[in-house]
Amino acid sequence: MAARRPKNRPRSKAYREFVSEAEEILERMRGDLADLADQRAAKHEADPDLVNRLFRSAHSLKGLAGMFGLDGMSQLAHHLEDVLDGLRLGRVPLNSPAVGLLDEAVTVFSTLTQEMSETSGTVPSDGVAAALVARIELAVRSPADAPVTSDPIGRLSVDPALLRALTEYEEHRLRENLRRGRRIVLVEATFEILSFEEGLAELTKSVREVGEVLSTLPAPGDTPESQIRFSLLAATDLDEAALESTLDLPNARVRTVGAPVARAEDTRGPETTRASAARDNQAESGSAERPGPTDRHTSDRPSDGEPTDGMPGHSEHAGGASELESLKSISDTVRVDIKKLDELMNLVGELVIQRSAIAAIAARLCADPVTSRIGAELSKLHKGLDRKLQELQSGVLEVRMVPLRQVFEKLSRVARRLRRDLAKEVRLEIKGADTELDKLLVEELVDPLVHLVRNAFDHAIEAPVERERAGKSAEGTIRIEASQRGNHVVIEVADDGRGIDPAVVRARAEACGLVSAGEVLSHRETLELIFSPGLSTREQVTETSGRGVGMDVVRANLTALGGLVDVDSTIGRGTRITLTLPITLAIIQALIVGVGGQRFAIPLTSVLETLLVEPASIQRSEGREMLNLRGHPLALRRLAREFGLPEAGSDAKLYVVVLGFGDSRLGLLVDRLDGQQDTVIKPIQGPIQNVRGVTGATELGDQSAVLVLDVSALVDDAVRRREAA
Amino acid sequence: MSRSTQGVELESAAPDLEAEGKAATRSLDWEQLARAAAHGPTRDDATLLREFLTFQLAGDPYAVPVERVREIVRMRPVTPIPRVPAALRGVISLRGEIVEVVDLRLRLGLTPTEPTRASRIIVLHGDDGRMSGLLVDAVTDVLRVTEEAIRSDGQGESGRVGALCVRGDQFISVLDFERVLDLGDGL
Amino acid sequence: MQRILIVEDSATMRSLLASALTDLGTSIEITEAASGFEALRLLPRELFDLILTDINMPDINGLELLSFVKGNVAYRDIPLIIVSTEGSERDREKGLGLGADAYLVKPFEPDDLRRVASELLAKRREG
Repeated sequence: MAARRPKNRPRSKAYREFVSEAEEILERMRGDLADLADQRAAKHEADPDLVNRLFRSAHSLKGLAGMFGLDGMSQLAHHLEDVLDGLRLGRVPLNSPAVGLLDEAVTVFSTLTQEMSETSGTVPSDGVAAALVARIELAVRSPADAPVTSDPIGRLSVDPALLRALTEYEEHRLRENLRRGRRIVLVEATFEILSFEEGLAELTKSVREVGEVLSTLPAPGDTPESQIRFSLLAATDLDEAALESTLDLPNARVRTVGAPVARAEDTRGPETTRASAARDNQAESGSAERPGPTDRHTSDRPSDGEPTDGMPGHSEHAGGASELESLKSISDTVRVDIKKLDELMNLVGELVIQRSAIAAIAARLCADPVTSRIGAELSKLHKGLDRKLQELQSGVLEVRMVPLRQVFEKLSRVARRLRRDLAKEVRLEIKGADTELDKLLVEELVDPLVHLVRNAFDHAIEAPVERERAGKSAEGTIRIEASQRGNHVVIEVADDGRGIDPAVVRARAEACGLVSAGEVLSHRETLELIFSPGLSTREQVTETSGRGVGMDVVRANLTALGGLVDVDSTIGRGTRITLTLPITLAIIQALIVGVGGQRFAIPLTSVLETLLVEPASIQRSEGREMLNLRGHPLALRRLAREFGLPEAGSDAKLYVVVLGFGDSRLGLLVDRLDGQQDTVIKPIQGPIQNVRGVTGATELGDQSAVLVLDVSALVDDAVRRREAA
Repeated sequence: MSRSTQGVELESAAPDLEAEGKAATRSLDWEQLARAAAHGPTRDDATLLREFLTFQLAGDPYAVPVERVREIVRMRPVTPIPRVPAALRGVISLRGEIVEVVDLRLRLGLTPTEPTRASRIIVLHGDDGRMSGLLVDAVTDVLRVTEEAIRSDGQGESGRVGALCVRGDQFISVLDFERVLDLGDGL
Repeated sequence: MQRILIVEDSATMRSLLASALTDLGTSIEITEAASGFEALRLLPRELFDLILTDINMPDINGLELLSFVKGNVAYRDIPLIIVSTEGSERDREKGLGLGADAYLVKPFEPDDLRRVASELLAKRREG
């Protein structure tokens, strides 16, 4: 690499960081070197883990010093590293004089670092370091090790990917263990990706008790997005039977990938290996005469969840039939990256928009007598295209739909953990796990749902004693139920806990200045205050009101998905939170309406019907406009008034778009209906991201942007006003 | 790597990149980085080269950092958004992406005019990667200057100009567009 | 915006690498992982456009991380640069053999890193 720059280095944060990290490393090395000295004195072999740790330390020092252009230190660290590398690769014996110089090197390094920190980053002279480097060089000059004979690693029956990921040192350890005739085993276990460390640490610890862990290779689990599989390559002196009884791991699969090679002086050896080899090969008995690599079914992996013993018996199923089966299952299902699906969806979305443009051109051509014939042909073509495109669209949409099961399973796990941590007796009931939703929505639902369940556990469900005093069963219940209602999915999270006390919420809200003392609020409006940022972020409230923190975040999440959150609660009886959201966010059919010269899109999934009404049929009640819709009152809102747009004349006929979201209804008054279009709702980017009543925008065929109405917000506002009245 | 090509598409004829300012070669090494890191995010290193896109507004020159410019587009139909400040003209569709457009004249309290053929929307991307559009009278140039040429002392009283950039005997106002795009501050 | 994941157990090295890459532009977001395990946990959470990893780390080594990334449909398109002090030719060959997109040996100049990183990021952008 390029030449280093001149000396005079300034005092800087990075240098201070360097010094403190170097000191940390040196401290660790001193400890490790002391252990190494003990092993040296006892004429033991050097503990490979210890030597490797020392090597890594020296290696880090070298890297750091090199980066800062500290040549003397870098040189010294390099030699330190060389000696330790030699030691770990078996090239330098533990009793080599070079090993004796390690202590001295660490001391010199410490002094240099010390000087550097005292002089604020001035580079210490390289003299001492250089002298020591020379001594180490002299001491290291030992005869080269014996040439390596044919590589035994290649004979191991493991996935080559695993071998490819071994560093040179790990390869050396593997060879060394093979040379010593130790059994090489592969321990495989699958963990949840978010919490694998604990389990893996336990597994590694157990394996360490019977031998040396050579490498830890991660691989995707059966459900790659949530699971991770680790393959531990380990060496052990134990034979198969002993291993089986010692290494009792319920969730791990252990198999021998390299059996010890028979050695003349070991009379017991061949027999045991033969025995174990025979057991390994039960499925194809008869071929088990030679000791050696046994398990040939490297593709046979345990399925998750199912406890695998990893021992004989399991391999009985691993014959040709299952191999065929697994091949078949590969051809039947294809894993698709959600990103690719999004791209595909976008592409379909663009096609849909272009199709709309074609429709517009066809209409223009048809209108003109000169081109009407060609227009009709184009129109026919367009209809065919339209049909195919619809099929394509629903096909892609269908692929995106996944059941809520995955999320619900995650909730069960959260609940299990909470039960343990909080020592509360809570039963989680789950219904409707088969309800399907857009994959993207399902992912976005995880956090809010986990939050709700956690809140119910933390704050809503009382301690068993308290529950019994209130005449409830000691065990609390949290019920999660999902169901599809038309184009929406409703998820309820209900508990039978202490409920929310509206008085407490109210008092708190007044204290925070969210509502004034005189303001009249309905029961529902009071409860809804728990979704206000000012209120729900305060922990004190929530303890007493029985509802947790972060409800504002839950609402924000749901709103971002075009959904709604509702709360209902009775003191002492419990709380029910209802999430309502559209089945998909992707392409939607929209009704285009015109108001005051501007167009808006309304997702058709929320449109129940449209009516043309005479101005006279609009009734007024308590200052609100209503319509008698087949005997039922329908609240009306004028979109023009909502959005401050010019209103149509008072005698003009109006269109009512009847909106339904969940169980709420609202009639939206507009000037015109401009037909239906397929649209892809895009978020609005820019300084103002949240406009109440607007959920995004879309491009219709003509390159102009049209705002998409947020039906949930419009309906919600209307319901609130009605209740406030 | 060339910074001038970082996602910037100029619709007009490409301006002379080397117009003014000193062309300096980039040779930052780890030491400089360490020093810069010690000084925090604001680098006062004179060798750092900055690039600005310059534009006209009511006859005056302004600039925004080139690395924030994603695209420059001609005027196109803008769909108004209800219930927002007037300076937010509305949204445009940029190949399907929906981007808000701020009328910079209105935003800075200058005399409003109707867009002309020279008007351009400068599409910027903010820290969060989201895009925003700025409607300006005309886009003029890309300017490369050293950090030395940027004076943060003589800023405008409004607070919308983050610094001044010297170009020959002319001063160009470097727009503090994060502030300009913050429509909640009541400027 | 593009996201870079830096996997390196030395805090100093991490911050140096991060500051070098920050210079690539404002639309770069850098996430730091202090170990291979941390990287494994971060991978499913964010979509990265570039990974930089050291080889010698306390839990899993950089090659193992590399093998995981390149053996996983969800991640294998993410370019990966090995940044190592390891001069070992074997490890270098292994890294490249496992599908590393670049291999930088410390010490190197920030410009070398920036050049390689920006090439890979540009390729990633173009898809």
